[in-house]
This record gives sequence, structure tokens and C-alpha cells, in this order.
Amino acid sequence: MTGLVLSLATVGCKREQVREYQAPQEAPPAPAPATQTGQTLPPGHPDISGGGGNAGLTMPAVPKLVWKSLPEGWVEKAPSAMRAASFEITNSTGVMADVSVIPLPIGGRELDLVNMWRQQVSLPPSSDADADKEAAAVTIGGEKGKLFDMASAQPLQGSADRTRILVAMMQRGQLSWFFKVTGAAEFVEAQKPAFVEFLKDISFDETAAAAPAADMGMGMGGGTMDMSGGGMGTGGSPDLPEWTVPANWKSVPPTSMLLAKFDVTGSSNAKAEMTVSSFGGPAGGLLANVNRWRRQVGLGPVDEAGMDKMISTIDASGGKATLVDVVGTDAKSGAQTRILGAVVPQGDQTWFYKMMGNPAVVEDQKAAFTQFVQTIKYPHAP
Amino acid sequence: MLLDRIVRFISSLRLTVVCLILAIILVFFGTLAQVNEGLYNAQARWFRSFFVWWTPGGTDWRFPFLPGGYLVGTVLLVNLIAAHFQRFALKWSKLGIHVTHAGLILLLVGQLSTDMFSRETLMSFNEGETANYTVSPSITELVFITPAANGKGDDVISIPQSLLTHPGKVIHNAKLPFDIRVQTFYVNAAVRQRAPMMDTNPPPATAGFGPDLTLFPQPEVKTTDERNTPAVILELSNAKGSLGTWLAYAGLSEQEITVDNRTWRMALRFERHYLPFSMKLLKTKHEVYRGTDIPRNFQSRVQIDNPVTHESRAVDIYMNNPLRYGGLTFYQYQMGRDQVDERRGNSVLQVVRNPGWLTPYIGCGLVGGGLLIQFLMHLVKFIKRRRTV
Repeated sequence: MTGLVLSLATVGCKREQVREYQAPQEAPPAPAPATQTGQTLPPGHPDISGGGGNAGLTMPAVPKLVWKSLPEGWVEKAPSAMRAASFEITNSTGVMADVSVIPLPIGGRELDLVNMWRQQVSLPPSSDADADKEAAAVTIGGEKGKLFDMASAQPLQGSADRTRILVAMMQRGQLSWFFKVTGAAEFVEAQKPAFVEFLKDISFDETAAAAPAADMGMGMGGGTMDMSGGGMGTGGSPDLPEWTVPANWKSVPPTSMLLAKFDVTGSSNAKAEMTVSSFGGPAGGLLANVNRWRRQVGLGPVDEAGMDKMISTIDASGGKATLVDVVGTDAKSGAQTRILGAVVPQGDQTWFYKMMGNPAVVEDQKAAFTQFVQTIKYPHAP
Repeated sequence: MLLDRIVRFISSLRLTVVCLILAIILVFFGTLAQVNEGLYNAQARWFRSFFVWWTPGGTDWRFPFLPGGYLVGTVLLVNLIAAHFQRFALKWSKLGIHVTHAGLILLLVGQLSTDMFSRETLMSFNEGETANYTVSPSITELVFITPAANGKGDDVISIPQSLLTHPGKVIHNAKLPFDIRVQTFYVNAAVRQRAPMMDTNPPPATAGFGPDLTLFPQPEVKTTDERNTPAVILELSNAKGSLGTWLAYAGLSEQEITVDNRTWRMALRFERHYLPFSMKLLKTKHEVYRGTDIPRNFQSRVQIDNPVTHESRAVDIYMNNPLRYGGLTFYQYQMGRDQVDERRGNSVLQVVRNPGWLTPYIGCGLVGGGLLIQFLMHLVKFIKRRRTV
């Protein structure tokens, strides 16, 4: 009997080992919500995509931020992407800190936000009660707000000093405003009184409200703050440039995040799709976007050196355009797919042109694509 | 002399009573503990253990303060067997006692085997979909998959979650062209796309999906209606050096790693158990009591296709009417709609493999039969004695 018990125990412990087996090849998966990088979530998983679940959340009008004077050492920068205002603080020795002012059309769970900032400085997550304790009362433009101050215990990867984040937040109408200072811990701490004074001093000018942005593609995913699509911040809908559409490109209504979309049909009904989008700032950078496109056709990421081999630069009316050409397999359809992309930085915007579809159709359209990109006239272009 | 005393102690009725009292205490406190510790954790700590450990607050010390379910069960079993042999007498008059004891032993051994061999998994599919595997509701596996050299399906190397929870552990498998070094394991985590304006910290990993994501460790959830989504950060390396750090997360699909012209797909997924047959969900029926949301009947019509037995038939699985097939029991568990296509029904079956499922029935039968035999023998003897008087 003891032998029986021992043998049961021995067999029961075999789970710890690595298993090797042959499994039938998987049938194409049933459609499930996919994030923008093509990752599929398990059933019941909260949506983590940027423009997916809550796309259509409309940005209310953003009042203009007004201040009488800036603290010493603060220099205003052109606001980019989601920022309503942006500043750089530099001291005499060249130490820098970044100040951002971001209005968002969300309430969000305060604890999730606090934990997101804590995570940025490698601090463990906080509880509701602790988060409340960490908040200091602050006056923002004559209204009540909260100030959070958190610093990393050690220098973060890639920096010599500890990092400190100061965030003041307030709810005003339909917008949550975030004022954030990020930089070397001691320097940011020294700037704290100036920051608090600046917060008191500001006001909101409703008459100069910026036009509502079209679709920020933002939302709260499963209680987690989720505010970008594909690693990009959107800067609202810029004016469409002037372009000449080739005869066989058929304009179709664009979906959210896109400014224009065309269907291109080649011989034997093979298809490709041409899309135009524009984002504020560098939109994550060229490398991130090249890798995003590579992933869409099932290719692994490349580094800077690898990317340089697959891109070329052409002259466009608004400056230089970077051409990207990748061929792979579309994860959704399993068909061989080619992406011909062009990235054109224009002022504080980056424009993306992408033709994706049947490789033969894309090859046929390459000249038309290049000409289209080269001849676009951008509004406000020099 | 000493041996005698030991045997007497092991086979004593006093030990039986002490074990039974301890079992009652364990069941009582183990049941209460499920409120704070969650069902699975409490079961593991109180019942599937030799000792119940206690850690004083703020220390790393561990003290056993109660014998666990395994210890109590084992001592009871040894006690029962020892008592049986010590007082064993091959007489017809003791037949009932022997049968009852055999039933009790079978109950204890059966429970132990159920505990060790039974497996609860889930099968989730939408109408029209076919499934040939079930998944664990809570345990994950790290898998590396590559097309099989013989062209038949995929080769899968599966690393159990228990090997991923130790930082620094290096996992080597002869079939994999790289070694895996565990950096950090998160029992529960959430990820989202990196937001350049907010995420100034380094990404969780340098290769695969990692550079585009931000990882948030989450507290472990313990209730049965929530599920942890584990994540692990790994470093892969071969003789040429590091292949980068990778984030494997149970909420992501497969990531590709190409080494020596061979591509492997990597994923952390809920542990899969493949079946030798397949099941297709034909239709779901979801009935509620009129005017309420209270479920009256969940019913799944499934088509079983077994290439081994050439069986192909449709069966209905509904509440209180499980399907027993291929050594498994399929219970209707949950029902809903497909997340993408609302017109399609989704059904989740709980799939239980329990090779010892008959032992409680046989054990109870033996105990009942033994007691009946013993009672009848006494009754007959009593009647006979009355007649002679």
C-alpha cells in the first residue's frame, strides 16, 4: 500500500518537466480583437488597442492655456502631438527637465494613472489609500488640483541620475488636465516651488478654444490608461494637402485614424489599398514605424542598420520622403503581401502613405505611388 | 518491545479520532480561508500539502502550525491499514468489517489519486468552430513551436509555468537552438502600447513585441471569476551570444524568433492539452426564466469526430447532463456571444479528466455493503439466539 502511495506521489510530480510533443497545425484562428501590432488577445481580455475599443471618443474643445510669466529658465517649445503646451527647463550647467501640459477627454481611475507614473520611475504600484495620501493639494488656475511627486530610488536605465516626476492634475469640464515635469530628481525638486507658482498663475481662455480634434482614438482599456495608437500620439486632423489622385485609384471613406483611403484594383481583380494618415511629432520615429509595417506582413523587427538597407530617400515637394518597401505574408489573410510606404515629415506633423496588398498590383502602382507622394502640396508648407 | 508500542500507536483508535478531529478543523478553516486566499490557493495551502505553514508578519520565517490534508489523509490510511492487519482474522463473522475497511481504504486512495491525476480544463469555442484541445484555466506554459520536419503538424516544446517562476533559472532543451534564461516572472500583469508622451522608462524587453509595449505588474487575483494573466521576461541566447530579451505575456499572440534559418513561434499561453478527437460547436441554446436574466438552460450541441474510431455523431451537453467521452467529462460551464460577431454563440465547456471517478462510488458501495453484511449477520445471530431461548 505504501508502495502504491509512493508511486502515486512520483507520478503526480512529473508536471515539472519540459514536454515535447507534436500538435496538429492550427486552423486559422477565428477573428478576435487584434491590437495594432497584430497581437491577438484571449477571450475576455480587456482591449489594449489604441484606436480599437473606444475609438470615436471625441475630444471636446480645448481652451487655450494662458500664463502671465514663465519661471526663470523655462523656455516655451512648440507644442507637439497631444500637448497643449510644452516647456524646457535648463539650468546654467545644462541640466534639463521637460514640462508637458496634456488635456485628455477622460476621467480615468486616479490609481491607474498614479501607478502608471510610479511605474515610469520604477516604483511599486500603490493602493487607493496610499495614492490619496501621496497627493498634495495644489491650486491650478484658481481651481483645486492634486500634485503627485515621485522619484526613482536608483538611476533609471540610460540615465546617470535618479528621475523625478511631478504631476499636477485637475478635472475641468469634460477635460482632465495633466501638468508633468520630468527630469533629474534633484533638479526637478529644485523646480517644484516655481512649478507650483506657475500652476497658480495660469488661466484658461475659452474664447480661444482650439477646434475639437477629430478622433483621438483614446480610451480606457480595462481600467488601464491607454492613450496612443501604434505608439503614436495624434495631433488632431490637420488640413488635407492638395494631391492628384491617379485615375485607377478609387477613393473610399477612410476609417478612424486615416485621412484618406483608396482602393486600387489590378489585373485579375487583385487588390491593394492606399491609405494616408498624419500624426503629430515624429510619431514614434522612423524605425518604430518601419518595424510596425514589417510586422503587418509577418516580418520580424530590424535595427537602425537593418532599416537603412531597406529604405530609400526621394525628393518630395515638401522636403524629403523616405520610401519603405517590404514583402511578406499578411497575418490576417495568409496571402503574400507587399507594403510600399512613404514617410514625409512636414513641420510638426509626419505624413504616412501606405500601399498594401497584392505584390503584383503594388509593383504596377509603384511609379504612380512615387509620383503621388512627390507631387503633394502641403498646407503651410514653406 | 518498542516496535510493539509503535505498532500499537499506529493502529490505535485514538490516532483515528485525533486524525478525524484534525480533518474537521482543516475542512472548517480551509473553507473559511477561501474567502481571503481564493479557491485554488486555499486548496493548495490547506489540503494539497503536508503542513499548513504560517509566516509571522514582516519576517521570512515559516512555521508549520497544522498538519495539511495530505499528512492527515496518509496517517489515516496507514492507521486504517495497520489496524486492519493487527486485528485481522480470516473469519466469516468478520466479513462485513473487512469489506467496510476495504471500502474506506478505497475512498482514501481514490481521493488521493483524484487529487493527483484529475485535471480540470476548459474548452471554449464559437458556433461553427472546431476544437481539438482544452486549456488550463489558470496555469500557463511557455511554448516554442516550429513546423515538424516530417511535415505533419508542429513540433511543440512546452515549458511549464513552475519552471518560469525562478529568476535566473536557465532552461536548456536539446531541440531548441537557444537557451532560455528567466529574468522576471509576473503572476499577473497588464500590457498596453507604449505612449511616447508618457512612457519615458525603458520598454520591458528588447526584442519581439517588447519594445512597443509597456508592462504593468498587477496584484494577483484570487477569486474564481477573475483570472491572472502572467508575463515573463526572458533572455534567449546561443553560442553566438544573446538574442535579446523577450516579453512573453499570456495576452499576446505568438512572436517569431529565427535562428539558423529556422523560425520558432514563442508564446506564453494557458496550458494546452490536445485530444485524440475533435469537437465542433454546432449550436448553442441559452434560455432564461421569462422576464429575468436568471439562466434556465445552457445547451451546446456538439459534433464529435474521432478519426481513430471513425465515430462522427452529434450530442447535446447541458446543465446537469454532462458528456462522458474518451475518459473525459464535458460539463456545460459558460455561455455567451462571440466578442467580434454578436450573432455567433460562444460556449465554454469544463472538461474534467478524473481516472479515479469511479472509486467514490465503489468505495461507498463497499462501505454500505460491508455495514449491511455485518448488520445482517448480527441480526441473524440474534434471531437464532432468540429462537433457541
